Amino acid sequence: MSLAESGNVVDVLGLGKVYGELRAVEGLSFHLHPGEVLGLVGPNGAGKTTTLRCLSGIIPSTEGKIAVLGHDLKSQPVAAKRALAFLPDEPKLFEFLTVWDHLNFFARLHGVEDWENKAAGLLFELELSGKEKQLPSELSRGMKQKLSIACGFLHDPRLLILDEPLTGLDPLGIRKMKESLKLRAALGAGIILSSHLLPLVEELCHRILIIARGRCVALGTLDEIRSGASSLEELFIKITSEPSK
Amino acid sequence: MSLWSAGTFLVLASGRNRVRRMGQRLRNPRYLVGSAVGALYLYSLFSHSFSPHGKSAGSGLGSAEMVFRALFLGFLLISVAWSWIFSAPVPSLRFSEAEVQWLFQAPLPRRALVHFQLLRSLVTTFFGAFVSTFLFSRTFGYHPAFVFFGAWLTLATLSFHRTATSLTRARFAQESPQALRRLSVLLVSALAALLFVTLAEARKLPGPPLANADLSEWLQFSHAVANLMPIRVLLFPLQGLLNVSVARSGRDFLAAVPWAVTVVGLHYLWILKIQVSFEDAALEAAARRARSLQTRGRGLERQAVKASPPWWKLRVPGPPALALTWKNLLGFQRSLGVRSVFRVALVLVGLGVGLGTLGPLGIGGAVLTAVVPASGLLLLLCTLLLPVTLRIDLRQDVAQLEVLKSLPLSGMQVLWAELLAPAVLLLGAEWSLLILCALCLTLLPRGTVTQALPLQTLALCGLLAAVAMPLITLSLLLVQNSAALMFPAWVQVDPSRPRGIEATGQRLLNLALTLLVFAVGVLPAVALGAVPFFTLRWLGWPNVGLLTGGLCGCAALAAELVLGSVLAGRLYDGLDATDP
Repeated sequence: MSLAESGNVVDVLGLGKVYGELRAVEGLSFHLHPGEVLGLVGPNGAGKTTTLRCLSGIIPSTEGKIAVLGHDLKSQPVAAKRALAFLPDEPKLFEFLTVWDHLNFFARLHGVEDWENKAAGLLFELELSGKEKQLPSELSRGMKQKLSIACGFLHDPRLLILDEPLTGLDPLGIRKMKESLKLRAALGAGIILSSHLLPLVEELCHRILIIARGRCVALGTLDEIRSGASSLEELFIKITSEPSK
Repeated sequence: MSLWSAGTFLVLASGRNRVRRMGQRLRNPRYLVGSAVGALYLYSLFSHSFSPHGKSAGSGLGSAEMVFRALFLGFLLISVAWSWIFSAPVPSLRFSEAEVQWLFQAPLPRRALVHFQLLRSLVTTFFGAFVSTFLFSRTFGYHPAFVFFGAWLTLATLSFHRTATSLTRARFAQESPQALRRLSVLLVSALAALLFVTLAEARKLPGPPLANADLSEWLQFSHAVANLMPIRVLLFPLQGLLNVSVARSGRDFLAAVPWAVTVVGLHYLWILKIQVSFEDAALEAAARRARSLQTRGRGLERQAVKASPPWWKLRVPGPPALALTWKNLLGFQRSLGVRSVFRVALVLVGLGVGLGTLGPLGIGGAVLTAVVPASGLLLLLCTLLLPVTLRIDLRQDVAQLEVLKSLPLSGMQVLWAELLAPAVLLLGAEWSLLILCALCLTLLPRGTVTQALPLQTLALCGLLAAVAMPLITLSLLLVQNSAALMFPAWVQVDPSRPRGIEATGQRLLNLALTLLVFAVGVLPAVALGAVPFFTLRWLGWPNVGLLTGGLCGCAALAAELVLGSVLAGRLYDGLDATDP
């Protein structure tokens, strides 16, 4: 079966990324089904962010194939990117656009119909109502993160790629974000989530992909990869501290 | 430890480390070449543009010295006027975020913080005086020590004056908006009265030279204007500062110093006398500066950005890529400071009308005579220089590549949408100037400015310029944006943003290389246009040749532009947004 016919949200086959002498990611293969949440964990410098950036088309992969909803990211990047949203750990906002301008901008880019109602709903959900006319410089770190999330959610992406999504959020924001992610997964979106907060990964993710030194060291449900460890934290430390083979 | 010793340590250690960092940066070829070019440029600018042949000899003032005096006094006058007219009514005491955090909580009286600022401005102006000495003492034959001391006192006075005016305006603003308005009305009235008296006095003068007059005529005229009684009164304190730098003997110097020191001292007392809260403004300014350092250069000065309503509403749905154009135009609108532009325009119009009343052609004639060369010059700037400096395109978004690359747009779409914003603005300005120039030429009596070309040929040239300008502007923008993708460091998109001589050098190199690439790129268009032009001219149809040749050249340039954008689009598509 070809990648285009799989019916998966994402198909990754032999993904590799090389920077000069450094192999940041090597031979990564996995699939993501609709409604599934995949947790990407690994130590610092393991290649998580590089993997996420490759998956969202921000950087070209050196090897392998990536298909989003059957669209090859190399040959059909525009169609693939229409279906996804990437939320980096550090919110990247345009300093001269207000909160509402940001939503208008992304609505136009993705051709979102009835965007004003959707945007108002998202702002309410993320507790940004009343901040519509504020510039990013007037927002706190957490509010910027929420605005970035609102922009990413606006076009109802089928694939959500999140890098440390809870950074900067307050406890209520974290709870709402978790609920929101669960709801989107229930509605059929595929979610790839990278985080160092292992309890969050345990709580939200159906499957877990552990990478170390750019390679997949474990992939499966927590039960499948547990191998005697009592928690994900214990498993993570056990797997990632093993010497390189 | 007192603030004097702690402050001195902070200022000196920071200065030493900055110099050390500059030295370390010179190991990088980019900064080394930039510094060398910048130094050469400054040397050539100040050492050769004013030749020392016109040095003072005997009783009369040489033209070089007159230029120096006119520049010096003009600079001082504009700086003083600027601080009153354009400065925001908030205290301009500048602290870094670290200084706000550590000095504001230190057990120090507020006056000590003011002293710290004044100390720092004295150190900064010390370096400014050093550069001035290097630039001016040899060129104009003044004593280096006199120039140094005079420049230091002058720059310190200017710095103190800026601080004092900002504190004064802030004090009025903190009292009530009406109080600030009353101060503004008082200042405008005083300025209007001065202008009125000056114009009345100026009627005795022979009138300003025409646009094609030589430098000496202009110098004589400016000298005569500076000698008018109201202007002399206005310039009196500034003249005292100038006298220190231009002293020709030790005796002249000693005679000039007490007055200059008194001017500085009076400013110091003025600052100490004003009791105004500056902490909030300092905190906000420090945070704003820190944010601006984190962003990259884009040819727009960071001011307090206000979220004004967009000039153009972005409708959904619509062509997605145009959202980028909208974003860039909105950024331009919000960073421009429309009010500032309006004030500058008012001042320029006022000056034009003021000069116009003195001229032989009356107000209208003088303004029209001045507008033709001025708009021509502006047209050249808009076409050749502004595409390099106005960075409201991909150059400002290179730091946001992560966001751009995740958008559902192809490289070509992103590129054209990004280029469109500066292109629209520049093209609007270019066509407006062209129309203005044409209008003035038709209104002026024939021969006032030029009669070298027949009217028909002139009209054809204008028409061809209107067609060629968008192509030239887009080509230059394309070269700059492609360079930003290929060599981001050379287009100064990095957050550390070097300043000073190395940045000047890099900008010059960037401009020169852009124009070189453009010149090479334009050669095929020129060659293609030259063939029909010369052929038809040889056959006796010069105007038809001009039109055909011009249009052929434009078509060739358009084809090159399309090809270039396809290549740049592919470059964007294959770009690794995280490559160092």
